[in-house]
Amino acid sequence: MSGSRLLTHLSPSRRDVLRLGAQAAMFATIAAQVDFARPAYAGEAKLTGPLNVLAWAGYNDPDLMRGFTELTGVELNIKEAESNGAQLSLVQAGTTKFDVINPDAVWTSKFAAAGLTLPIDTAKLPSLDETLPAFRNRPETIYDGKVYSIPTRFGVNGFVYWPDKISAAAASDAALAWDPALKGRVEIIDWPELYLWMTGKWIGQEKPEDATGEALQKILDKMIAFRPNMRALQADMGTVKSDLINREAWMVWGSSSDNVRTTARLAGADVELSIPKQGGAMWMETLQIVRGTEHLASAMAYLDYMTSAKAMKQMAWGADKFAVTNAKVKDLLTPEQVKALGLDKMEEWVANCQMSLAPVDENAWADAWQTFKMG
Amino acid sequence: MAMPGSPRRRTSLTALLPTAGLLPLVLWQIVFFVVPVALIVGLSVWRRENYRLIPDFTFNNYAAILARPAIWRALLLSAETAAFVTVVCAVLAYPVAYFIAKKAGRWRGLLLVAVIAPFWVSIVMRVAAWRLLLGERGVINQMIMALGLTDEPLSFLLYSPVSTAIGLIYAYLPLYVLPLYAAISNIHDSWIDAAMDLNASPARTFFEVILPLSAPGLVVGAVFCFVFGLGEFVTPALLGGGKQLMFSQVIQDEFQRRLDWPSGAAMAVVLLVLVFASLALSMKWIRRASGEAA
Repeated sequence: MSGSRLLTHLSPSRRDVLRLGAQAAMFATIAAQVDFARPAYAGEAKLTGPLNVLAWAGYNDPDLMRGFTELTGVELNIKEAESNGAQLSLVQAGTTKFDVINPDAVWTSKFAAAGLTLPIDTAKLPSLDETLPAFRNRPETIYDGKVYSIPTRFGVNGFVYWPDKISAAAASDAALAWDPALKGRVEIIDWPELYLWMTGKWIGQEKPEDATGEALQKILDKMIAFRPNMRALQADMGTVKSDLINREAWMVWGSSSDNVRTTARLAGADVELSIPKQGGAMWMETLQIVRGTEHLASAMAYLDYMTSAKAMKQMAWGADKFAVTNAKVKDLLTPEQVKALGLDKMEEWVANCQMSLAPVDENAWADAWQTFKMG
Repeated sequence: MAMPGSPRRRTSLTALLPTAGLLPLVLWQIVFFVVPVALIVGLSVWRRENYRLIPDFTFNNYAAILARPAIWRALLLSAETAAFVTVVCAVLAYPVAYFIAKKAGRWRGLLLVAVIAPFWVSIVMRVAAWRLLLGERGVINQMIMALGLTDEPLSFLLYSPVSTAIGLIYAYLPLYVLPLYAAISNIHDSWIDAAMDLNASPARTFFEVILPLSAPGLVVGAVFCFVFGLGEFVTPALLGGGKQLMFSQVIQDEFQRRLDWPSGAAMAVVLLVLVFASLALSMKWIRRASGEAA
């Protein structure tokens, strides 16, 4: 390049200055829109939204939602789910195109078998490295050899009771639920799979979920024998908690016992939780990705965020106070919060519980539960 | 040919205008009544397979209802409860409506507002308030114990058929008072005076003059109470403690627990037919009583 041409390049015309200035301004404008601190998800795939999530109460916690949107820029539309079945029918109906759903773990195979959900590449979810060992590779989350659901919240089911009304020794035996001394003092919630399964276990059935015919009738007979002690079969968890706190109920069976205990204790009720020696039952929620989602990368980002210690701490110590599967959450909570949530005893409780499985013959169980409710 | 502005055209316009005025009502009925009912009836002849709704034309869902005694028990319980609530509401509403219509004077407006005021609060809130009142540590039990009527709280006041009945009577009493008030207001005082002048006792005046003349109000109120009571869901669910299953709760179970929408729809149609039958019977009675049918 000659010296005169070099000078020409170094001495731009007024038009060149305007053009370069406009380009610089445009670049600055674009650069201002890009958050270089934002992590990339799902193999650098573009995050799109908004993400439609169908989830249980608690997932619509504004702080929890804000955390995801601030991290990814993706807005969340969260619709509250009423039941596992309602989630299934809503996804099938397809009126709203949900991207992520939140059924219990034992429903994983139903959704997968119906072709409604996608297998999940867990290698792309770094938060799962912090999952409690007991919740890794759970068989309930796997269908046809592939992971279809990611565990989030869980709980144990036994008895929560007032120790001045019921002794710890009595509460350690499942027979307590049928003790005539508790006539009209025990409350349960409308959760057929849990109670029929627990009762089946307690009367000695190896796999209550398979119970049909005579085996199911035995469970039903035992449940009907419980009715005199049943103060109420509530449609919601809030009422059993308030009735326990008010001491109108002396004991709550099931209803996610650790959560009942936590809520009651925080309200000043000095209640205790016992997992009977015959064994308790566990439940576990999961996040699953709906087949056909147009926001797969965002859905993966949501799963990773929701299983992170930060988000799970918010779920554990947010409005609802459920146990969560991330091991690091304990480190983010104060010792008082850990104790209040029962996380210091959770390992012991979980060890005495089995996951209550979905019945093989749903209609037979639904009929049995209806008969029980009829009285 | 009818020219613009001609009397014939004006006549047709005059006839059209009131008809056009009905359009919003007709549209409302089509969108919020005819279409949903048609959908429910249509769905009731579909079937469910692997959690999917399969379009079909089968009456199996209706046959299944007939074959399940639990459903008939629930329906019977709903009908019994609705009938009981209707009778109690009639007995309680009559003196209230009579007092407001004939004796309240300048307080009439205020009392009518008081009757309808509970409707300004959500049914869930009202039922929740009853739970606070009827619980073992509730106001009513505390009062009974403070008066020394009992040492222990009465546990049957909540989560029992008693609490369900109390909740339903409370909810539907205004629905009975209003049509009764309208009927009793239409009874001229002179008719009552005439009966008295003819030496009828107050009881005879009531049974032979006031009661027959207020019968349309009684029937309309009864229809309101019975129809609403038959399909009631919230009050039994929240105050009954889930110890008894009413028909509406069975329908909800079909939709939400069993996910068997066609079966739930068939039950809803059965309920709808019962409601229509009640309405048809009451309308027939009212027409006959008012002399229209003759």
